Amino acid sequence: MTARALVGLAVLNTFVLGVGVAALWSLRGWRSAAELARLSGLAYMLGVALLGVTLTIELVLGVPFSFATIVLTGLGLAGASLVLRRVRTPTAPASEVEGRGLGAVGAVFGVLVVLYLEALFRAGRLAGLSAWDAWAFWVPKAKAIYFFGGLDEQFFRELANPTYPPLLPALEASAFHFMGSADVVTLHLQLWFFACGFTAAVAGLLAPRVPALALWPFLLLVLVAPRVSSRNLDPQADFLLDYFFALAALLVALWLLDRQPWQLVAASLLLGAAMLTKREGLLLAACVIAAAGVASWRDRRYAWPRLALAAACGVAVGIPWRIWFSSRELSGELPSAGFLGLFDNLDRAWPALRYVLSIVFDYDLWVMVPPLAGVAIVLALLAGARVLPMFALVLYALLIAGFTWVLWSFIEIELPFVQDEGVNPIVRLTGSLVVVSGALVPLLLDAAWRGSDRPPQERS
Amino acid sequence: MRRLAPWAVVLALALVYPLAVLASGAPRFPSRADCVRPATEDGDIEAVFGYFDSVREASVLRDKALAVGFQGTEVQANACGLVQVSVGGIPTLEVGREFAEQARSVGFEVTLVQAD
Amino acid sequence: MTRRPFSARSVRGYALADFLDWPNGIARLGVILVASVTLVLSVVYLWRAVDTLGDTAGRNAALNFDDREFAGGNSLVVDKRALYEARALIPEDGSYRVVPGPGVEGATELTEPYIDQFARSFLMPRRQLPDASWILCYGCDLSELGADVEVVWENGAGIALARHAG
Repeated sequence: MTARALVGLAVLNTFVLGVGVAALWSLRGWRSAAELARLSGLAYMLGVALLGVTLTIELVLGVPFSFATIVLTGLGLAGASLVLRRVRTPTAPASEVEGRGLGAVGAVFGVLVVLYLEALFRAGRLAGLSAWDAWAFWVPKAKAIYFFGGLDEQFFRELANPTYPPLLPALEASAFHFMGSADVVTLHLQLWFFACGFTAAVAGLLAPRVPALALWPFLLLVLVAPRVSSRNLDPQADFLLDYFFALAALLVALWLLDRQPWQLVAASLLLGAAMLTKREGLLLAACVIAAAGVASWRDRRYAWPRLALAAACGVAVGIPWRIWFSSRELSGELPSAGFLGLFDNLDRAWPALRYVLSIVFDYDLWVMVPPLAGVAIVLALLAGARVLPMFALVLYALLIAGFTWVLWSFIEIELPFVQDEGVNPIVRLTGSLVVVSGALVPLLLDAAWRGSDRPPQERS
Repeated sequence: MRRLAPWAVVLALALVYPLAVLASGAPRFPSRADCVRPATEDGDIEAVFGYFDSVREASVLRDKALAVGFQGTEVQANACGLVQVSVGGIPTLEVGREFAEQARSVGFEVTLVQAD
Repeated sequence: MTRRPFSARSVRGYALADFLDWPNGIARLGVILVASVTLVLSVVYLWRAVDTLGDTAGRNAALNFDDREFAGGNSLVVDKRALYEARALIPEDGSYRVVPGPGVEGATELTEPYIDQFARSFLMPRRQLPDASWILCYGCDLSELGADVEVVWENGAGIALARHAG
């Protein structure tokens, strides 16, 4: 609540950006300061993912968590990235066509997005910790890491959902260290930084290849959808998971079109971070990889081994955490019906699907984002694009199937399901589908307009 | 230059919202001191010797006050979670001022606050 | 027909008949419709979002310090002073246990089942331990806590902070 806490958060996030810039330099590089500025949102999100994953692994390994640990870890990651860039053949900067500047549409909607983020900042600055899961276990976990300098087994055992991964609590505990206290009010602004980073990352990745009219209004619509706007500062993991997932899906989609190795490596890191953010991350990551597998059917000899490697790397970063909680016999990770128990409850399948669809198409929560995404897929297919709309189509279908599976397999949930949207798990899951639309629909609209999903310079 | 013009417009317009908000006053940074309401009227008044974060620190001051004869000095958490060393039950501002003067004469800085 | 990038200028460059070509013209017409709907909705909902966020900011700024600090706990904490007293009295490296019960005046349906969860977070780094000497009695029967228990603070409405004398 103090100016010192605000400054501390700004310093932490600048530090995270620095780590991400080093990672981006190692993965991809850039040709100009303008290009770096354009990709700074992506760099920041890579920094969040890299630092979050590493701090989580350190926590699991029992490394004492302190201010020095965070700083040294960040510096170590940045240093390792720079060394990596030097010792291997540098990846040539992508041959992307730089955009024609911001343009009138970009300027107008850029202002509107900034206006929204300013209002969001103002709303979050003095927000109390009201969201149930936030005060019940997400923030207590962060406080436990901050106060006790590690994963305190007693606390994690006593709190609800002890098997939820600690990436967000580790980042929130870092925020406490930089703020100088466990300030759970100002903590909301850490989530604001994530929202800004995600927005800048999507805009930066798509600006040179998608017309402003296709990009900005849809991205803005996703940000201002009532559920997104009202919940994205809650200090819990839902939206950070959605950002990691959406960016990973976007990078995989771009990789399917461009085949730039850095895109898949970055996606793999983000998928790993998603899996360490919430257990649903595993489901979302599986959907991305499976959708990419289907969309790359024609090039499967080239694409599938790489996709498998990316998935394996993503899964690997989550293994230490799984070993930690399994070795302590903490449970609650699997659905109550088990994976095969589904078939003993076939009567739940249709009501579960019907409920999921009712949430996905709930206008009051998401305005028209999902239906517009569906139309964009159809238009892109109609215009002759194949890879991108197929990826999006399979991804959305798998997501809906996955959400249905969740409702179907957790048999303690009564159907028909009635729960306040604030804590409703299907509403939370659907956020991922909506957020990923902000990244994919602009690409789909561009493909529908041009009649191709290949980058413009490849067609002539 | 033409490429930079839209960015300049974005930057300029982005300042409109914060400036409009700041026009109605500087941002407030709430603190635990928000619960300290200086006494301005007769009624349930407390004479506060000091505020602390912990009972241990507060107890030292309470013991000093008790030692020089300020009976009824106690340690308690106020409504914002600060630990205060105080004497309660002062009925009027006049009595409170006399109390404060007396305390000052033996080295204590006492403030009068309205009880929660 | 040459494909131009999607922009207001390029849309004007197409003849109406171009948009009726199957399938590309229809797809482009669809893109224009989707973009138009998105444009309108995004501006309308931005307006609403900024308005709502402004109201939220105003409400948050107007909160009392303790209401903001307790926030979600306001739905179950009956007397905030009890937790503040606990924070002041129990040393940071100390431990305590919460004994909830039905005897709290003004309790909500969430008080008894969740007060220990809230206290766990609010009082951190103090630890909850089953054999702790400090006891936060939230509607419990004090006489059942043992003969050596000394009440350090109580609010007279069922909440007390007690300690084993030993």
